[in-house]
This record gives sequence, structure tokens and C-alpha cells, in this order.
Amino acid sequence: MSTSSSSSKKIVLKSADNETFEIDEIVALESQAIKNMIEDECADNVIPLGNIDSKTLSKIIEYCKKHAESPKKDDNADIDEKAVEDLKSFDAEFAKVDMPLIQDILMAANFLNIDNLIGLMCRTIADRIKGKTPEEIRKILNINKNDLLSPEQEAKAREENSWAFD
Amino acid sequence: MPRGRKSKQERADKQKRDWLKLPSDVTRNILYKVGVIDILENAQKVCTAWRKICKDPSMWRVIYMTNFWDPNARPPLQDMCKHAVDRSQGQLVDLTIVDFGNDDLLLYVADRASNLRRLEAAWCYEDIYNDWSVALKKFAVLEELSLYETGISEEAIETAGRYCPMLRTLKVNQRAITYSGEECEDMAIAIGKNLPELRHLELIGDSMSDIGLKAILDGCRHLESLDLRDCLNIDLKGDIVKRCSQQIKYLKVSNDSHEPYVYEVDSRIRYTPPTCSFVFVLYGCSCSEDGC
Repeated sequence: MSTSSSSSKKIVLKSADNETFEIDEIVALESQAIKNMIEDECADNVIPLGNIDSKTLSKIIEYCKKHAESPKKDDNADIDEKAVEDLKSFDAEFAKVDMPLIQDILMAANFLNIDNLIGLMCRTIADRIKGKTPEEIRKILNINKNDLLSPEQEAKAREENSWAFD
Repeated sequence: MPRGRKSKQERADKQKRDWLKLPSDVTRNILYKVGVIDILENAQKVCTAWRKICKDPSMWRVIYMTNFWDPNARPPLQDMCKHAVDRSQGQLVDLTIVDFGNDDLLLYVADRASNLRRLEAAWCYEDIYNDWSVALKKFAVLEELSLYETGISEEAIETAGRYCPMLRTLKVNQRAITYSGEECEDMAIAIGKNLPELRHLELIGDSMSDIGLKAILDGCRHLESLDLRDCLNIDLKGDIVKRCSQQIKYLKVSNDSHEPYVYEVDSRIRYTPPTCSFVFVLYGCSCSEDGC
């Protein structure tokens, strides 16, 4: 009896800007952090997420919904290729957003402990900075200039790089 | 009121997107995916926080480097790989070198990576055949040796038997051949004689016959999986089929060769046209996503 009712159980998430999102529990369970809260019965009806704004949170819910609906790999060794491909193209589309939002999603995914999403965001960032100079990377990621290498460190790094590509 | 709220929000935004506040394991995850060449050439110079992470020996426990058919890139790659090995300060556990390995690099690694558990080498063009027997003496905790289109002597197999007691997985694979050549049982016999503890063995494209296969079955009693695709000299005549089915849980033989090799399906080592001169990927992150 309890199992049939749990499948449609709802969870409400509240963003930093006080927007509420009602989602199926199964979707919320994509987040290991929320899963732990539910299991430890620490979750009230509404889970406040004071460090995640509504724009970021709605993206994250979109991701979790899709992934919760998709058949899990380890459930069945020969799950159909189409589902895997479908999820892949969803991920690719999902990651086509600007860098500030990617950063926000990554921070939030890290807080909510959603492994696949952390991986996807890290890979997206990695792809965008591959082959770029340090200066270009700083610009892409908007990295704080207060943390630049000292001239000594720069020299040391150059010295270490003894290899030379033609 | 609204003004106050806005500035608070702005402050929060600014703080949120400060890269240096990312937990270092997330930054590591990004850097792993960026790969060795970009780490050493660029990423480590971005800021002191990143430099610190890139200097941390634990960042270099897994090193994955590949060249894609550019002969000019091989010498710098060898130097770069040595540098990466140095950074690991003995913590290196998993090394993959594709299309640039040579004897000098192998021996360099052997002297500095006594904790190496997995070594994969593909397309080592230069003469590395005999150096394995020297190197393997120093890999006392090696669990997996995976070679593709990379020669290794029977003597080295004997060395592995003596000096690598943890070795459970051995792959000595070659490109698919389309015709059966002269039979040669040497490798199979050396394995059967020296590596009784093996659990997983791949000898794709080997020229052994049923005689070699029997030597493996006789010697490697704990074998669970055996991949002999494209071993075109194997006939599987007589009771050897029965022995295989009794002894080996997962067996692949020539008839299964329509199945692509790991090198053909694995995105990490997918054939890339020569226009892409070299690509490095450092893998080993904990995420389980595809194509990572």
C-alpha cells in the first residue's frame, strides 16, 4: 500500500528568491543530498534552498526530471540504445547555456550532490577551456585577477615546460 | 527595501560565481577532463589556486595521454609524460600511453612508479620489446597490463610471473588480421607457464593454434574470461571446446569477431584522422557518464 502511494509523493523545493517548485519525489531523489534528507526524515514538506535561485533551480529540475524518467543503466544490461542516445542528446542540449548559468548549475549540483550533473557541467567547462591560453581561460570563467601567479611562479612554470611542440 | 534586497542579491551572485570558492574536488574534476597537455601548458598558469591543485601529487595518480599519428608530437609527449610522472611523486597508479611510448619512457616510469597498478600501452612504435623484462621487475603491485600493437617478449612474461604477483589481467592484442599466418605458440605457452594467477586474458590476433590454447587452459586455472578473437589458427577441434566451456566463464573466439574491439568502440581511443595532431585526455574522474 505504501509503495503505491510513494510513487506519486510530492516534494516542494523553495528557491532563494522564494519561488516554490512542486516535483515528484522520484525526481527529487536524483539529488543525493535531498535523498539523504528524506531518508533521515529531516525533510519538511517544503525544502528551502537558500543558495539556489529560481532560474538555476528550474534548470536543475528539468535535468532531474529527464534523468529520473530515463531507464537507469545498471537496471538492465541491454537497455535500448535509443534511450541512451536520447539522454545524451538531452544532455548536450541542456549544456548549451552561458557560462554564468553553467557555473550556477555546477555550484547548485554540487550542493545538491547530483553526480551526473556535476560531471556534465565539469565536462562542458573543460570543453570550453581546452586549447585556450591562461588569459583566455580567465576571461571565459571570469576568474578573479587577485589570484594571478607571481612573476616568480610564472618563470618557474615556463622553466618546467621544457618540451617544445613544433 | 527593494534596493537593499537587490544589492544583497548582487552580492550573492558575485560570491556564487567566484571560481576560487569551488570545492577543490570539483575543480579537479574539471581539470581531469581538460587533460594533461592543457593542464601543463595552460590551466596551471590560470591562477595560484589552480596551480596548487595541478602541483598536488594526488592529481597525477591517473595519467592518460594519447597521440594521434603525429610523429613530431612523440618526443615532446615523452618529455611531458615524464614530467607528469614526476609530479605524481610515486603516487601514480594508472598510466595509459597511446602512440608515443618508447623504451626510455618505460624505464623512466619503472623507476618512479612503484605503486603502478594498471598500465596500458598502445602503438609503441619504437623498440620496446625487450625492455618490458627490465621494467616489469619494478612494478611489484601491477594488476593489469594492457598492450595493443605493442610488442612484448616471452622473457618479459616470465619476468611478470616472477615479479608481479598481483597481475590478474593481461592483454596482448593486435590489429585484426584477415588471413591466418604461420602458427606460433610461444606467447600462449609463456603465459600458461608463468602466469597461473591470471583471471582475465586477451590475446586478440595472436597466431597460436589449439596447442597454445591448451597450454593456457592447462596453466591458467583461475581464468574467468578469455578473448581470442581473430586468432585464426585456432580450430577448436576435439575436447578443447568442452574444456573451454568448463573452465572459462566468458569466452570469445574468432567466430565472434564481428564484435568490435575495445580500441574501436572506446571513445577514448577512437581513431582520429591525422588532421588532429594530438589530443590528450587525462581520465580517472569518478563520474560514470558516457564518453567521459
